[in-house]
This record gives sequence, structure tokens and C-alpha cells, in this order.
Amino acid sequence: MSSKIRLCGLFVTWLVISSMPGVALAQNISIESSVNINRIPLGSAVNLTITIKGTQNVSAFDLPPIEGFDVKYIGPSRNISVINNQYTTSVSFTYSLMPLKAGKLDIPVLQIALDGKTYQTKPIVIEVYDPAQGGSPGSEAAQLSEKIFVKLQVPKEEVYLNEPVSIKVFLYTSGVSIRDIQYPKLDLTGFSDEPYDQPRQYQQVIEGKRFEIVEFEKVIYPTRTGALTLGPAQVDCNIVMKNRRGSSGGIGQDDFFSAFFDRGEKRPAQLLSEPVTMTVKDVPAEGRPESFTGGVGNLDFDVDVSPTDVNIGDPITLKMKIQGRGNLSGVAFPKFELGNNFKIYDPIIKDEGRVKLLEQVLIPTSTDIERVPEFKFSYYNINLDKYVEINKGPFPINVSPAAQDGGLTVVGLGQDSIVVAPEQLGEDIVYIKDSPGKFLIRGKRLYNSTSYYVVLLLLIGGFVGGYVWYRITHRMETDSSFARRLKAPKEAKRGLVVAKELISEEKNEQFYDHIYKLMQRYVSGKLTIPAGMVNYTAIKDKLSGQKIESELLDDLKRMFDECDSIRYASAQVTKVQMNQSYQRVEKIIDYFERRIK
Amino acid sequence: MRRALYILALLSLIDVFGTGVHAQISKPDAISQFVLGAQAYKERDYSRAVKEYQAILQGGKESGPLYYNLGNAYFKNAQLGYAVLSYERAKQLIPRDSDLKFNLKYAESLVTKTVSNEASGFFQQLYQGHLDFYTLDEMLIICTILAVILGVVFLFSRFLKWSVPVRVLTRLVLAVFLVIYGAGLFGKINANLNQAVVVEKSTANFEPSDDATVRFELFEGMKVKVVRYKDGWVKVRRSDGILGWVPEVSIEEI
Repeated sequence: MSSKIRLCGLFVTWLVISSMPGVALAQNISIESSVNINRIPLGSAVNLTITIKGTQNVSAFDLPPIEGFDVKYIGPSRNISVINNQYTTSVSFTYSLMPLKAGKLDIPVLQIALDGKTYQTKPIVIEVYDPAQGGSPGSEAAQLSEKIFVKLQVPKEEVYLNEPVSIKVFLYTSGVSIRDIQYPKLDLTGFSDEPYDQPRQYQQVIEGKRFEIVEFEKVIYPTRTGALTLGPAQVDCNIVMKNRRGSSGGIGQDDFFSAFFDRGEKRPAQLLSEPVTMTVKDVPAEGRPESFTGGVGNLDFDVDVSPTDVNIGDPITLKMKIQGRGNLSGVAFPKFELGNNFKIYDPIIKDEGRVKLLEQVLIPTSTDIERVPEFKFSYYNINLDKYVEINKGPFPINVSPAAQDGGLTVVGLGQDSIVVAPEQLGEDIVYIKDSPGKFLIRGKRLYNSTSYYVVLLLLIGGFVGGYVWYRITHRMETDSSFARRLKAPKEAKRGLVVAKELISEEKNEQFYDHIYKLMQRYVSGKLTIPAGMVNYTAIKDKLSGQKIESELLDDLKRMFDECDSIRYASAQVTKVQMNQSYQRVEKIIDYFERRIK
Repeated sequence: MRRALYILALLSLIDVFGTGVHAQISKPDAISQFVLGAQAYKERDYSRAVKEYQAILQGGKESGPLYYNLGNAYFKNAQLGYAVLSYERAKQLIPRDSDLKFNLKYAESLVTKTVSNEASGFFQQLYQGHLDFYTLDEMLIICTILAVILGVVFLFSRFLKWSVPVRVLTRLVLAVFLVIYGAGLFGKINANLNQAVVVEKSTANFEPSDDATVRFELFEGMKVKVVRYKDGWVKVRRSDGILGWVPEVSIEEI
């Protein structure tokens, strides 16, 4: 019981410590390498396991290239063991090594760096035998590439432009199981091609060896002249590795499981053939007929015209067909000229594999037409090595006048009179414009331009100003007291200028007379008092309802008293006194302008 | 007052010259590009024609004939939605062009319609014709001129002391015209605002989500009104008022 508790405690302790990152258990680190089997047939694979003991803090690593083997990483496994209360940890990385040839192949010493130290594995020798030689080593070391390879075959290396060329790709296998074979991929620059035919499978003995062969065939057409390289052909498939159980077999490598789930490990393979160079030349110019339109191969040409008995305006359908073995996409239908007696619509052309069809509607416009003319087609026949011409037609047709029951007739003009024939108007858009017109800045319009709103504001301002001006002038015309009130400050200003001149001329009597009248008119306009009744008392009474500074009233009284005394008493005054009086008047007017409404 | 006028003048200058700060295709280059587009169109290379015309737009310039040609190129390239969109944009600049009217009508006739957009009734058609005849800028200028004339007449009639009947009649006539064009301006703004064309066939859902229930279908070339945008979806209103959410990529505003 106590040992069980101790075991659990150790396990828990390990769990806690090993879950803390970067914590390495203080154990001695050692590295081993091992294989599951030392002797395998060519076409199988051996598992190389590298075990690092004493730590689990190691990530998977790539092995360096090993000569004679194709290396693939399978995965890791981690292990903890407790023996006599001593626990050890280890991590193993397994790699699948597929030998590429028979013979004795070395897995060399592998150096692995860990925590600043370098560790080495021991070398291992694997014996690879060719099962075709009965399990014993042959006189020459067999290569995997001799047991599985791809060949690209062309019937000839000199061909004509657009000539159909049947190429074949062969996949050879001997003693190697393969699955999931893909159709060959091929660089076909300068060629057009058709899809692959159904592949064939068969066996063949070549130089004493039995091969399983898969044959792919397709037709290609060279589309330009010169030296063209075809291929290499690439065939992708999976090689099935036969699992060999060695001394280190574990779960998953057991025959029961591998038989149940999978017969062996699948290893993807990409097999390439050698490329082939072909020389493409143009068909002979000598003897080339005018009706040749690019057809090369073995072609047939046919034409059908129906109906042949029509009225003016009724459609006739012209059908042309080119079929056979050749690059139909590179072949054009023969051109033809029907003159002005036919209205022709755009043809419809269909490409359906080995048949190319053209359908065109012709509308006869005259009863003079008697036939649809002959059509000439020619192509270069590879087998005969010469041009072949095929002519069809001419096709006689009978065109009658237009039918009479389709139009409007005006009653009274007779049964044979047709006023308007029904017309089928075509439907399409009007053609493009030749001139771009005036270019504007994109998105810029009047309604989103600041200048418009500036002008608008100015116009509104102008209108408002004009209306205000009208109101003022209208009131001035109709309201005399308003007019006087409006004019008073200007007149007072003009009066003050004159007063200043009088001071400089030292005309004291005129000065005081002038400023008296100035004040009279100003106050009369401002306070709407008759000019003759303007005096200090009248002003004071008029302003009694308003809050007036006493200083102003004093100035007013003093001004009137001064004016009276000098005007009537002819008192002598100095220039200084006149200036003081001037300033007093100015002050009063200023006060009135600012405070009196 | 002087300062305010100075600021206003400065704003106008910025408005006039400010756009020159951004890189724009020059007029000679735009004309060359236009010719290239026409050449591509004549060669029936409609995709290239679209690219050439679009280059002018991306260069910051536009014109009615440019949008018209672009619409033709899209139409020939079997992009009906973009064709209608381009024609509508051309209509904003050259509304009285007979070729444009024909092509737009023909293109619209090919649009799968689920709701009728046609104005019915004499006055509705008259109003619609009035809206379609002018560009928005033309309406704005006419309204502004009418308002200015009305204002001038208002002032002059007072200053010159026209008789009341003359004053009333003049103002009434001007006011009627102002109302007609003002209504046209309002209608035009309303019609142009948030108007979009369906450029990719789509469905309008009840909610802005691929999993939501489909409410109605939208076909290339149909016109809808944009209500709002949200997370790559747009709420649109069909001409009969029905609302739905469509992916933002399937419509484009005129």
C-alpha cells in the first residue's frame, strides 16, 4: 500500500514538474538509434527510430539526406518508465526510409545537438535485395528507378502545323505495388490537345522482366512552327510499402491491424519521363489551293441550304459542317460572297469535339436569285501527303415575290395594293459618341460648390440691403420727423466744420451765432421740437423721461447762456473761450448721438 | 463687414482652385483616353473599352458622353447593371440627349421587373418629364435667376412706384415659375438622393445576415433607394416601398 501511495506521489510529482515549461529533469541524456528490420526487399521501407533518453523537452528534427534512401518522418512517441522507484523519460522519433537500390546500404552516424552538447548515434547497415532475383543478391545492384518509371512516346519527331499527333505515356512497374494513379501532366506549350482516351492496362516482358504497364493516349496539335519541346510527362501515384515486422514491432505494426486497416504504408511518388523535341513545319506552299483555311488531318466538309423555295424576305438557313481528325479550332470555314441580293446575318459557330458547325441566316431580297453559289473547302491530308479539295454546291433556290397578306391594305385601292408591309425592326443600342464633350471635375456640381453659396449670400445681402434702403428712403419721404432725425447728425457735423473755421478767423459773434443755430437745428431734429422753441428749458422738459447726466444739462445751460450773452451783449471772448465752447457743443452732440434715441 | 467679405472671397478661391491640389488627369490626356476607349469599342474589345473609360473617371474627370460610352461598353459586355448605372449618371449631365434616352430605355426594358416604376397619370408624367428635362445644376440656376428677378422686381416696383395690379401680376407670374422650378429642384434632389442601381443579382433579406429569410429578389439594373448602411449590408427601399437588406457589393449609388 505504502509503495502504491509512493508511486502515485512520484507520478503526480512528475506531472507537476514536467508540466512546468523549461523545467528539465536532472537525468543523464543518451541517444540511441534502431531499425525494425535489417533486411528488406527493394520496394519496401525500413523504420529508423531515434530515441533520446533522459529528457522529453525535444522537438522533432529533420534528418540530413541519407544516400540510397528516401526519408520520410512518421511521428514521435513519449515514454515514462518507473523501475525500482527510479523513473526515466524518453522521446522517440520514427522515420520511414525507402531504399532506392538493392545492396548493402549504410545509415551513417547521425549527430544531434541538444542543450549545447552533441550526441551521436551508431551506424546501421541495411541489406536490400531484389525480390525478382529470388531473395539473393544479384550480380548488379538493382535500382528502384528500374522497377518503376515513365516513358513518353511520339509517333514521329517531324510534323506539320495543326497535324494531329497521337502521343502515348507509359507507366512501367515491376515488383512494386502502386495505387491512386493520376492522369499524366504534360507541358504542352505550343500545342493544343484533346482529352486522354481511356487508359489501357496490360503486362509485357521486357529483357526478361515482367512489367505491368498502364498506357495513356491523347491527340495533340502543334499550333506553331519551329522546334517544340513536349514534356516531360509527370505521373503522380502512391507506392504501397509492404510493412515488414521486425523485433521492434508494436501496436499498429501488428499484422492483425495492418491487415484490417491497410495493406501497407502509402508513399506518394512523382515520376517523370524524358522530354521529347519535335520539329513543326508549315504545310507545303507548293500546290496550296486558295480555298485552304488551315485544316490538316483527315477531314470532311458538307453544306446544307434549306428551304430552297422561299419568298422575298423569308429566311434561308445555310449550314456548313467540318468534321474528322484534325485541329478543328485552327480550321476556318470557307469565305463566300453572295452579292447584294442577300441580306446576311452574323453566323453562329459551334465547336463540338470532332465536329465544327456553322449556321447562318440568309434573306433573299430579289426574285432574280437562282442559286446559292458553290462552296470550296480544302485541307492537307497527312496520309496522302497532298491537299484535298471538297466542293459543295451550287444550290438552286427559287425566290418568289413577297406574300401579300402580311401588309396593311387600304380599302378602295384594290385587293392587290399594299400600302405598308410589316417590318421587323432590329433591337440594339445606339452607337457610341465620338466626342467626350466638356469634361467636368468628377463629383463637382454647382450645389456643392462654395462659390455658388458665396454668390447667393451676396445676392441675398444685396436684396436685404436694397430693401432696407427702400424702407429708409420711403420713411424719409413720408415721415418728416424721421427724416430730420436722420439728417441732424450730418448737418451738425457740417456745422462744426464751419464753426472751426470761424474760430480760426476769430469771428466770435458769428461763431456763437452759428453754434446757437447749429444746436437749435440739431436738437430740433433730434428731439422733434420746433426750431424756434428750442431752449434749455424745452430740452430739459423733453428729456425729463430719460436718465440724463447732470453734467450734460449743465453744459447745455452754459452753452445757451454763453450764446445769448455774446450774441446780445457783444462780450469779448478769446480764442481759448471759443474753443472751449466748441468742445462743449461737440460733447453735447456726441452725448446725444450715443445716448438719446 | 470687410473681414466677412474677405473670408467669403477666400473660400470661393479655395473652392475654385483647391481641387487643383489633388492629382487629376489633364484634359488632353482625358481626350486621348477617350479615343482609346472608342478604338477598343470599335474593335469589339468591350472589357478594354470599359477600362479605358474608367481610367478617365479615376483620373477625376467626367462628362455625359463619357458615361454614355461607358454604358454602351458595359451593355455590350453583358453587364446590364453597370450599363444602367452609367446611363443614369450620364442622364444627370446630358438629360436631353436623344441617344441616351433611347439606350437607357432599351437597357431598362431588358431589366427583369417585379414592380412597375412607371409614372402613371398625366400630371405625374408631366412632372416627371419636367424633372428629366433639366440637370440639377440647371434647375438650381433657373431657380436662383427667378428668385433674383423676383427680388429685383419687388424692389424696383417699390422704387419706381408701379401700380398695384402691375406689381401683383408681375410678382405672381414670377412666383408661379419659381414654385414650378422650386418644386422641380426639390423633386430632383429627392430623386437623386440615395438612389442606387443593382449591379449584381441579389436577394433582399429581412435582416442584414446571410441566414435571414429572403424578402424579395433584386435583378441587375433595378433601381432602389438606399436607406442606411451597416456592416457590409445596405437597407434599401424598392419603388413600391418594400424594405430589405442586401450586400453592399450588389448595389452602387448613382
